[in-house]
Amino acid sequence: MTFDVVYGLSPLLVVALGALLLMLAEAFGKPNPQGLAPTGEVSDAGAGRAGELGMGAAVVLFVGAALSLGVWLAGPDNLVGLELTRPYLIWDRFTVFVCFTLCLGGGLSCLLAGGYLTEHEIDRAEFFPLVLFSTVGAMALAAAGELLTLFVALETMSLGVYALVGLRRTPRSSEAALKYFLLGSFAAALMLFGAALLYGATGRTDLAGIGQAIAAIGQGEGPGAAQVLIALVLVVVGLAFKVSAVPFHMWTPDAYEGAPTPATSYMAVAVKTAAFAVMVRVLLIAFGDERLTSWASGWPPVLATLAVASMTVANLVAGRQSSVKRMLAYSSIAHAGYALVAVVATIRSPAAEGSILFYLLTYTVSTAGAFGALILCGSRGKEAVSYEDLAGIAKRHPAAAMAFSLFLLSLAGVPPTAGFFGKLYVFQAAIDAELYVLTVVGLLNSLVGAYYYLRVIVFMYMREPAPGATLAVPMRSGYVASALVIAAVLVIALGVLPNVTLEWAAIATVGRS
Amino acid sequence: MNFTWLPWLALFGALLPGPLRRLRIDPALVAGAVATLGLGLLIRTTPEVVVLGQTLKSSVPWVPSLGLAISLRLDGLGFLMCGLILGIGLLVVLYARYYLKPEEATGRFYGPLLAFMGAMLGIALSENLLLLVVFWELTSISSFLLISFWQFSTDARRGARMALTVTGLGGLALLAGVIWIGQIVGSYELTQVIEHADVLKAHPHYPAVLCLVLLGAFTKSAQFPFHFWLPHAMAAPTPVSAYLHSATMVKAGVFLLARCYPFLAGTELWFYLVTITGMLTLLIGSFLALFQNDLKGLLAYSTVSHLGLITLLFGLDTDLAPKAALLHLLNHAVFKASLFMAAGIIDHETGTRDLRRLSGLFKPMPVTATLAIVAAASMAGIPLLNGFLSKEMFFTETLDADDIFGRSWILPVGATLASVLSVAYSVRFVRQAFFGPPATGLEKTPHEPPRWLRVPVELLVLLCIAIGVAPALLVGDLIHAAASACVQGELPPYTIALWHGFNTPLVMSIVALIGGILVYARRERLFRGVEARLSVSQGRRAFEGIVAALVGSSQRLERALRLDQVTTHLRGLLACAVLVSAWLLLPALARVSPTNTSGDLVLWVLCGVALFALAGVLLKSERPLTAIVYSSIVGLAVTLTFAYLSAPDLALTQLLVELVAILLLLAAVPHFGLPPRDKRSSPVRALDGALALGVGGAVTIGCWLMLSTDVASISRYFLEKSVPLGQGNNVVNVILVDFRGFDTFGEVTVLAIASLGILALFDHLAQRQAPSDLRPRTPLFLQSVTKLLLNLALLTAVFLFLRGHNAPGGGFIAGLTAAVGLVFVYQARNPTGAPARRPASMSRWLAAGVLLAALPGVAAMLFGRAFLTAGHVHLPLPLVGEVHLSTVLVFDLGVFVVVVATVLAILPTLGRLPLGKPTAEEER
Repeated sequence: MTFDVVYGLSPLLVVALGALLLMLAEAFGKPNPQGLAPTGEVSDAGAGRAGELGMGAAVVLFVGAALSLGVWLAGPDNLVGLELTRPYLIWDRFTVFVCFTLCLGGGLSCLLAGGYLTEHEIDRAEFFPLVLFSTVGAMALAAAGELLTLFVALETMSLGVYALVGLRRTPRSSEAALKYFLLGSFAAALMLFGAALLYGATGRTDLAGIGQAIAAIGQGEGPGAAQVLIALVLVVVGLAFKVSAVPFHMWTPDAYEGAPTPATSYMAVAVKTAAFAVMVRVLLIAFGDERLTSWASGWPPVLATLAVASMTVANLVAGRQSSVKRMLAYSSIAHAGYALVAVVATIRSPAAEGSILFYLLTYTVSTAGAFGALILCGSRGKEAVSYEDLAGIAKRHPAAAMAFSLFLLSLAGVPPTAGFFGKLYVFQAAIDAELYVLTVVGLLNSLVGAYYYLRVIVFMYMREPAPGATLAVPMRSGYVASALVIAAVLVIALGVLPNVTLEWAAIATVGRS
Repeated sequence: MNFTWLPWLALFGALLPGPLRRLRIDPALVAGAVATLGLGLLIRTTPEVVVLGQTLKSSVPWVPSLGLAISLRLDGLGFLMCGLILGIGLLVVLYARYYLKPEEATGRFYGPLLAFMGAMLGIALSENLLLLVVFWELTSISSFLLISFWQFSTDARRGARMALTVTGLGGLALLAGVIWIGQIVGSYELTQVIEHADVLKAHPHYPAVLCLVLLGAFTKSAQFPFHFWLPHAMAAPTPVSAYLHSATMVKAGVFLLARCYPFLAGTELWFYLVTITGMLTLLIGSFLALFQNDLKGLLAYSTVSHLGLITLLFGLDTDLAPKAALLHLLNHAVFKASLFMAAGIIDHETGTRDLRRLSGLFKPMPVTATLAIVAAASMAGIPLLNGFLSKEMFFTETLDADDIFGRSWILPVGATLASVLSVAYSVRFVRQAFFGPPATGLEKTPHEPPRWLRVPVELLVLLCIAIGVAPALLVGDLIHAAASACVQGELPPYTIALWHGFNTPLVMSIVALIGGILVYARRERLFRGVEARLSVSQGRRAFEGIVAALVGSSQRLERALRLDQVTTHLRGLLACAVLVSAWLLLPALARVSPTNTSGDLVLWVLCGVALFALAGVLLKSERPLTAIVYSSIVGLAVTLTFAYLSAPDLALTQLLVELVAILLLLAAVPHFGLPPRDKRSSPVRALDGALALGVGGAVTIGCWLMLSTDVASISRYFLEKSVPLGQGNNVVNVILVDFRGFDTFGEVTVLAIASLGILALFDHLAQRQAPSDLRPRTPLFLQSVTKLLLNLALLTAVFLFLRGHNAPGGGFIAGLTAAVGLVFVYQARNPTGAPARRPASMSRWLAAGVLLAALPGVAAMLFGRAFLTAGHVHLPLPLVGEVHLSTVLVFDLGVFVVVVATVLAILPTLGRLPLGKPTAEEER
C-alpha cells in the first residue's frame, strides 16, 4: 500500500526532495570564487555555481521524467494504493503522461539556465529551486482532482514563475514580472471565486462530485444553475489566462520577453502544459455535463472562439515582431490556440485528449529547443535578439543554425518532425469531432506560422549581416548544447517513430464518466 | 532491392553529397548514381507493371494509431511518373554538372535535389494518402531550397517564398481534405478509398472534400488563379527550372488529379471545377506567354498553359480523356525540359535571356538552335513530333465531351484558340532567338556550349521525335497501363497513332498552325498596348496585396493589442467579460422570478450615502486627502449598515479598520505622486462609461441571481452549537477562534508574513537617518492628551479582549484598538518620521504572535486531541468575579499581538521613506 503510493508519486516526491536539497546546497554551498558578481550586489552563497546547480536540477527533473516512465510502465491503475490520494490527487495515466512532459520541459530549461546564467553573469542560483518547486506545483496541478488542491498547486506553480521572470534585475524584467504577477493573481482570484461559487452551488469540492451534482442540477431549472454558469465563466477565464489564450494573453509577450530566456522557455512549456492538463480535467470532469458540453449551451463555443482568436491574432502579430524572442512568445500563444482546438474536440472525439497530450509533448521539445537555440546563438553583450542579429549565423555557427531550423520546422509542423504529428493528430481529432471550420482556420494559421518561422531560417541562411551591425556571437556551453541535443533527438524521434508515444497518449485519458 | 527502395534511396542519398565532397568525390556523381540506380530498379519492374498491368504493393506500419502506414504501390501511373522523375532527373544532374560553376555545384545543390527527387518518388508511389501528404510537404520544402539556391538574390528569395507559401497553402488544404476522406471512408489506403468511392461521392461533405483536394492540386500545378508563383520561381538556376517546372513539381498537381480520379471524379462538380479551371489556365497561360521577354518567363507561362491543358483533360468526362492527359503529361515533360535546358544554354553562352536582345543565334550555335527549334515545334504541335499526338487527342476529347453550360462549341473553340496562341509564342521563341540579324552588345560572344551540356537536350529531342513517329511502339503500353491505373477500370480500345484520317481534330490543328503564324505576324497590331499593362502579373499583384493586407492588419492589430497600452487590453478584456456574461447570464435571468425585495428605507439611505461617497472617491482621485475623506464616509456607511442589521462585532471591526486604514493612508499621502492627466478623447470616455455600465450591470445581475436563489444557510448550525461546543456566546468570535480556528491561524500567519515582506521591501528604500533639524515640534498639549488616550485605549483593548468570547470584542478588535492608541502617540511625537526604534524589531513581535497563536493548538495535540481543540477553565477572580478562561484566549492573544505589531511595523516604515522619487543610485 505505502509502496504503491510512494512509487506512484515518486516523480512528484523526487522533484520536491531535489528542490529542498538544491535550496540547501544553494544556501550553504561554498561560493565559486571565480564566479562572484562584480556588480557589487550582495552575492549569495550559491553565486557562480549556476552551472553545477543547473546540472543538479536537470538531473533531478530527468530522474522525475524517468520515474514517470516507470510509473507508466507499471501502470498507475495497478498501484492500488494510489486510491488513497483520491480525490485530491488523481494519479492516472493522464497525469503521469503530463508529469513526464513537465519534467522533460523543466529539465531542458534547467540545462539551458546552467549555461545561460553563467554566460550572462546572472548570479542567482535560486533559479533552480524555484523551477523545481514550480514543477512540483505543475505536477500537482495536472493531477488535481479537487478544487483546493487545484488552487494550491496553481499558486505553487505560479509563484515560482513570477520570481523567475523578475530574476534579472533590469527594469524590463521587473516590469514583466510585475505585470505577470498582477495579471496572474487576478486570474487566480477569478478562479478562486469560481471555485467558491461551485462549492456554493454543489456543496462539493472534488471535481467528480461537482460533475455529478451539476448533472443533478439539470436543465437550468434548479437553484444552482446560474452559479454554475458564472463559475464556469470564471474558471475558463482563469485557465485561459494561464494558457495565455487571446484575449487573455496580454501579459505573455512582455513577460516572455523580459524574463531570462531559460525562464521564458520554462514558462512556455511547463506552465502551459500544466494549465492545459488541468483545463481538460476540469472541463471534462466537473463541467462534463451533457448540457455544458453541447454546442448550444456550454463551453465549446467559448473555447472555440478563444482558439480562433488565439491562432489568428497571435500568428498575425508574430509575423511583425522584430525580436525573435517576442515572435516566439506570440508563437506560443498561437500554439495554445491549436491545443484549444483539441480541447474543443474533446466533446465529440475520444481521441482528442490524447491529441492534446501528444501535442503538448511535441510543443514542449520544439519550444524548449527553439529557445535553447536562441540562447546558443548569442553570448554576453552580444545576444541574439532581432532577426538582423541572426543574419548569416549559419556561416558562423552552422550547428546552432541547424538546430534552430530543426526546432522551427517542428513548430511549423513540417514532416517528418514531431510538430507535424502533433498538428496532424489534433486536426484529425478536430475533423473527427466535426469541427471543420476550426480545422480550416487552424490549417490556414499554420501557413501564416510557417511564414514567420521560415523568416528566421531565411535570415540565418540567406542573409548577410548589414555592414557595421553588431554581430551576435554564439556562446559555448556544454549545458545548452546537451539540452539542444536531447531536444533535437526527441523532435526527430517523435517525428520519425511517433507510434508508441501516440498510442500511449491515446490511452491517457482523464476517464470522464 | 525492389521498388519500395526508390524514395528512400533518393532521400538518404540526399545526405551523401555534402560529406562525400570532402572526400573529393564529385557530388554530381553521387546524384547521378542514385538516379541511375533508381532507374534500374524501376525498369526491372517493367514486365509486371507495364506489360501485365499489375499493381505492386508493400506496406510497413508506421503510425497505426493515426492510420499512417508506409504503404507504397507501383502501378502504371506511378511507373510513368517515376520514369519521368528519374529519367529527367538523371539528365538534369548531367546538365547541372556542366551548367553550374564548380564552386556552386556542392552538396547544397545536390542534397536538396536528391531530397526533392525522393519526395517526388514518394508522391508517385504512395498508397497511403497521408503518406502522400507527407511527401507532398517535403517537395515544398526541398523545392524552396532549390529555388532559393542563389540565395543572395532578392528575386530568388521572393520567388522561393512565394512558391512555398502558395504550394504550402495547397498542401495544408490537401491535408485537411485527406483527413476528411479518411474520416468518411475509415482508411487512408488508396485501395480502400477507391473501393468506397461511391460512399465518398454520395457523402454530404463531398463538395468540401473535393474543393480542398483540388486546392492542393491546383496550387501545386500552378492553375489559375494560383499560376503566378511559377514565373517567379524562374529565379532558380536553370537545371532546377528544367526539373521542377517541366517534369516534376508542377506535375505533382496533375498527378494528384490522376490519383484521385477513381474516387473523386465523375461528378458534375468535378467536371465543372476542373474543366473550367483548366480551360482558364490554358488560355491565360498561353496568352501571357506571348508577351514574355524573358526566355524562361515565356517557357514558364507556356508550362502554365500546358498544365491547364492536362487539367482540362482530367476534367472531361470522356473515357479516353485521362489517357490523353497522361500522354500529354509525358510529352510536355520531354519537350519542355529540353526547351528549358536549351534556354539555359543560351543564357550560359550569351549572358542574357532577354528576347529583345537576343537575335540571330542560329549562326553561332546551329546545333543548339536546331534542337530548340525541334522542341519548340513539338510544343506548337507540329506533326511527326510528340506534342502533335497529344494535341490531336486533346482536340478529339474536347469534341466528344459533354456540353459545358449547355454549349457544345465552348470547349473545342477554346482549345483551338489556346493552340493558336501556343503556336504563336513558339514561333516567337524561335524567330526572335535564332533568326534575324546577329545580336549585338551581348556580354559573351555566342558559341556552341560544351559537348556534355548539350547531350541531355539531344537525348530529349531525340525522344520527342521517336515518340512522335512511333508512339504505339514506344509508349503505347506505358500510357495504356498508366491510364488503366488512373481510371481503375477497363479502357476502350484506342491506339495512339500518328494518322487517324482526315477528321475534325486535324482541321483544328491546321487552323491552329496557320492562325498561330498569323497572330505572331500581326501581333503588334493585335495587341497594341496590352504588353505594357501586363508588366506585373495580376496574380502576383493580388498575392502581394494579400500579404500587404495581412501585414497591415497585423500592424494595426499589434498597435491595438500591445501591452504598453494596458488600458486597451483592459477594455478588450472587460468587453469580453460583459459579452460572455450577457450570453450566459441573461437566459438565466429570464428564469428567475423577483422575490423578497427588501423595502427597508434605512438600508436604502445608507446604500445611497455609500454610493455617493464612492463617486466622490472616484471623482476626487487626483486630490488624495479629499478622496480619503470620501472613502471614510463609505466605511462609515458600511459600519452603520452592520450596526443597523444587528452585527455589532462586524460594525466594531469595520470602524476600527477604517480608522487604522485612514491613519495609514494619511501617513502615505506624501508619497503619492501626482496622478497622470486624463488624456482620453470624449468618445473614448463615452466608451469607457458604457463599459463601466456593462461591467456593473453584469456584476449586478450576477449578484441578483446569487441572492435570488434559495441556499440553505449554515448560520443556524453555528447559532445552535456555539455554546455547547465552543463555550461562548459571541458566535462570531467562537467561529473565529474555535470552529474556524485553523483559518484564523492561517490568516494571522499570512498577515505576519505580509508585514515581514513590507518591512523587508521598505527597509531597502528607507532613509537611514532622518535629518533631525527638520523635525517639527508638536504641541505639548497634544503629546499629553495622547498619552492619556493611550492608556484609555489600552484599557479598552484589555476589556474588549477579555469579554470577546461572550460579547462583542476579541483579539482582532482589541488589537486594532490598542494599535489606534499607539498610532496616536506615535503621530504626536514624530509627525514626519524618525522612528522611536527600528521597526525591524517588530519582526520578533510578529513571530511571537504567530507562535502564541499556535501554542494552544500544539498543546491540544500533546493531549491527544486535534490541532486547536479548545480547553476551558473557570477561574474565580477577586473583584472581577468568575472568569471563564479558555485556551482560545491564548490563541486570541496571538492574534492581538500580530495585529498590533503589524500596524506598528508599517507605520514608522512609511514615515522613514524618503520623499520624492528615489534617485537612480538608490533604485539600484
